[in-house]
Amino acid sequence: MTTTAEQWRDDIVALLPRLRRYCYSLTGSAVDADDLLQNTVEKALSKYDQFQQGTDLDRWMFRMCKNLWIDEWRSRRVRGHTIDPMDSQNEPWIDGETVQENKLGLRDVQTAMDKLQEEQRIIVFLIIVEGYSYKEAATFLSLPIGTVMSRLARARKALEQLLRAPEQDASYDIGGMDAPGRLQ
Amino acid sequence: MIITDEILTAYLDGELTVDEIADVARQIDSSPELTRRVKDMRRNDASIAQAYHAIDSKPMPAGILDMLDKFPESQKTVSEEETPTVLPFKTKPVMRTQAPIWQVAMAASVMLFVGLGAGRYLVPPPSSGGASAEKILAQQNTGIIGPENEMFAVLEHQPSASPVTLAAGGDTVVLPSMTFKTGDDRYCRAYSVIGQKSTSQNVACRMEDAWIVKISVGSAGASAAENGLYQTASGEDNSAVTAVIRGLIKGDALSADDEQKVIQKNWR
Repeated sequence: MTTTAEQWRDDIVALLPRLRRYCYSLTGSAVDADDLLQNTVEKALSKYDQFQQGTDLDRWMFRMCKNLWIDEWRSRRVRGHTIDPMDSQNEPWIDGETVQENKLGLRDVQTAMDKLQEEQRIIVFLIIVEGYSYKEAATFLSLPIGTVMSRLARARKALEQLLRAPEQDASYDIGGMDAPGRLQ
Repeated sequence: MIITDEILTAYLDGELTVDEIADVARQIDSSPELTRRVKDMRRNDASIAQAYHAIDSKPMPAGILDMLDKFPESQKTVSEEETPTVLPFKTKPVMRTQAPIWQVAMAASVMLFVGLGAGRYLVPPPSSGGASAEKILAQQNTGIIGPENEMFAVLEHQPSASPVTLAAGGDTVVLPSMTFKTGDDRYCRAYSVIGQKSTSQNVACRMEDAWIVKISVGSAGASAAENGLYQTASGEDNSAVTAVIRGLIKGDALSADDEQKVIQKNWR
């Protein structure tokens, strides 16, 4: 079945909330996430003519999104520019009351997620945040289901430690890396 | 069965067989250590999901919606020029001013749109005009609907095809239209929210002790009376919402009897 440009656009629209959360998980900042989302959508639309029927749109856009973020990070490193993505000044839209009601705050979660390996973080995102089944995540990542399960298990075990006592994580080696390293 | 980290994680995600689940559950019940670990992991999962879904409550940037609105017509112009330059990232938050077209009055305290397509159209059909053709994209009150939200009780208890008027929403009517199960055995519901000046089609899925809104597509300028309650809920072909449901659903929608049973079991 051939997809028209309008249907293709509607598929992107349906993907937007999920893609936006992915941007948020990559950047750790709502402002950066929306800029990344905008750049991703703009680039995708400009490449419509190159999009081949039958290509998995989700994977296509997620990959594009990640590559754009890699480029941005490299650029920031060259410029020597860094920001604290969890600076509350950067998240004026977050309802303080909502954050307070959370059992764990956004900062705790983001700090812990940043310490996971990239291969673990994407699986946590797909399964825990987006509710993918193991089979769906395996298909999305072109991995065996067993690999998905073992990576998720390692991620959950690491998160158990990191979210229980984040101040003790220096002595706990989970093979994680700092923010720029997540962009491998 | 020996409880490994993999088995425990598969148990949490409902990826074991019924017999395996029973076996693991029995072992968890008899082990304070496993009970604590499962409790911690569930708390972590809920916190992570909640943290990243938090961005759903922020309005979708108008620039993105505009770009999609103008596609594919915009590409005809672009293709004759150079490929658009990727925008620089901002280092400081900018409170974007949305164009008037995206500013849709709040129909009720529970729903605030940020827009995505008027009914089935992202771009209003040429023949339409006036208030009823006003377009909007996505919506703001997506994210998590917790017990403190009046919508939570509606999604928890209201059977499909039974409209209910929100106490806090004036004339706002909520109409659950279907309930279905996902591939990973979670329950989701499609529902309409019909206010005086806007309507929306929504899909939310139950996760832990909250409902996560997967998508909300709204239209503005048409009242509930103009739309007709049932016509709005089931008569429109909303492609974005349909695409989300197709991506989630396993099998058919629940029958009225099955839906009633799962409501009575508190969605377990």
